[in-house]
Amino acid sequence: MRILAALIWKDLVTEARTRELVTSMSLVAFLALVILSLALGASPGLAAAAAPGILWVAVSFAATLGLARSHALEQERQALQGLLLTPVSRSLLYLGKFGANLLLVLILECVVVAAFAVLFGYDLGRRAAWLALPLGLGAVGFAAIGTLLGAMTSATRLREVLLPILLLPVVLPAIMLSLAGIAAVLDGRALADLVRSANMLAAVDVIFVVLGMWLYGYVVEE
Amino acid sequence: MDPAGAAVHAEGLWKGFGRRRVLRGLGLVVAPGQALAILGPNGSGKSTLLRVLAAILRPAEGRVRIYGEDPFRVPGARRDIGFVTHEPMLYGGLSVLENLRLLAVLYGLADGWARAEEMCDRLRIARRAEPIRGLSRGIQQRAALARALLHRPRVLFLDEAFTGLDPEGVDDLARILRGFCRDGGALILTTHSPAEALGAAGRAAVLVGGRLGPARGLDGMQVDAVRAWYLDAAAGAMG
Repeated sequence: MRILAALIWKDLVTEARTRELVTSMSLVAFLALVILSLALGASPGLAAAAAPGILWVAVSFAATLGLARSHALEQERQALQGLLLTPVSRSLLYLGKFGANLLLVLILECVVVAAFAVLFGYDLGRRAAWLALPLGLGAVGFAAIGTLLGAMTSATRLREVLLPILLLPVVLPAIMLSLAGIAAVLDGRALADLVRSANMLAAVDVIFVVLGMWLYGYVVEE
Repeated sequence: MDPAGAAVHAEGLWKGFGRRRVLRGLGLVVAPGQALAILGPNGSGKSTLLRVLAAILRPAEGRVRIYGEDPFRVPGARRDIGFVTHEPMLYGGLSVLENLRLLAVLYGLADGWARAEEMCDRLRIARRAEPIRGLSRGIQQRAALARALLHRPRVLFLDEAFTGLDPEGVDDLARILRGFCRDGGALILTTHSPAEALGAAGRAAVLVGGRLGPARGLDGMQVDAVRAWYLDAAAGAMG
C-alpha cells in the first residue's frame, strides 16, 4: 500500500507544481462545452436529450489529451525505466499510474459537470450526487484502458494521434454503459435503471483493470 | 566460469525491434569483483544489451541471470542491479531528494531518507531540493549515479555514463567504480572510448552488429594499443 501511495504521490506532486494537465484538460473540455452549447443552446429539448453525450464528448476528448501528456512525462529523462529497475511488480506500477490518471479524470469530470450546468442552464440539484456513480465508474474504465494504451503509445512519435484512435473504440463499452446511467439519472428514472447499468459498468471496469495489470509488463518491456 | 557463481550470466540473447535484429545470440559472464567494458560503434546494440541485462527490455530469446536468478521472473533479483545511462531516469518535476526518497520506498529501504541524503553528500550534489528539470546536465548525471547506488546493488551497468560529467565528476565516478569492484561488485560498462574502457575495466570485448567478440584482459595495455585492438576487432567482425 505504501508503494502504491508513493507511485500516485509522485504524479500528484508533479501536477500540483505545474498544474499542466488539469489546466489543459479543463480548458479543452470547457471549449468543447462552449461549442456544443452554442450549437444546441437554441433547442433546450435537444440539449436535454443530448446531455449524457455532451458530458462524455467533453470528458473523453480532454481526458485523452491529458493521458497522452501524463505518459509523455514518464518518457522524459527515461523516468519510467528508473521504475522498471526496481523490484516492484509491473502490475503495481500499472496500478500506481492508473490511480493517478483516475484522479485526474475525476477532477476533470467535476469541472465538466459544473461547466455543463452553467453553460446549459441545467439545474442538477440532488441529481448531481447520483451522476457521480455512472461518471465515476466510467472514469475507472477510461483510466484503466487509457493507462495501458498510454504506456503503449507513449514511446511512439504519433502518440497524441495514436492514443485516441486506439483508446476510444476499446473503451466504448464503458462509455456506453456510463451514458445509459447518466441518462437514467437526468431523466429521473427509477433507481433500478441506474443500478443495472452501474453493475454492468463495474464488471467492465474490473475486466479493464485486470487486463491492464496483466498486460502492462509486456507493454513496457517490449 | 560456473554460471552459478557469476554475478551476471547471459546466454543466447536475441532482441529485435520490428524487422531489425539488434542482439544476435549473444552471451557473456562476469564474476563478482570484475569489470567488463563493452566497446562498440554507434548502433552496435550496446544500450539494448544493457537494457536487456538490467531487465528493462525482455529478450526475444535467451536468458539472463543475476547471481543465479532471472530478474524477469524474480523481481527481488532486481535489487542487485544498478543502472546508469546518459539519461538520469528520474522525474523532472521532482527534486533529486524527492526522486531518491520515492525510489527508497520502491526498493523497500528501511533507512531510505537517510540513505538519500548520504548519496547526495557522497556525490556532492548541489541544489538537491530543486526540480531535476532545472539542473545542469552534470548534476543530473550525478543524481543518476546516486539513484543507481541508492539501494546498494551488487551489479552495476553503465551505458555511456561518463557523458556530461565535468573532469571532477569523471574522477568521482572512476573512484566510485574502483571502490565498487574492490568491494566485490560486478561492473559492465559500454563505451566507444578506449580510454574510458581502460580507466574503468580490467577486461573488454567488442560488440558489432549484435554479436559480442571474445573478452580480453586490458592489464598492461596503453590507450593506443586498446584502440588498435578495438578497431581490428570491429573491422574483423564486420567482415
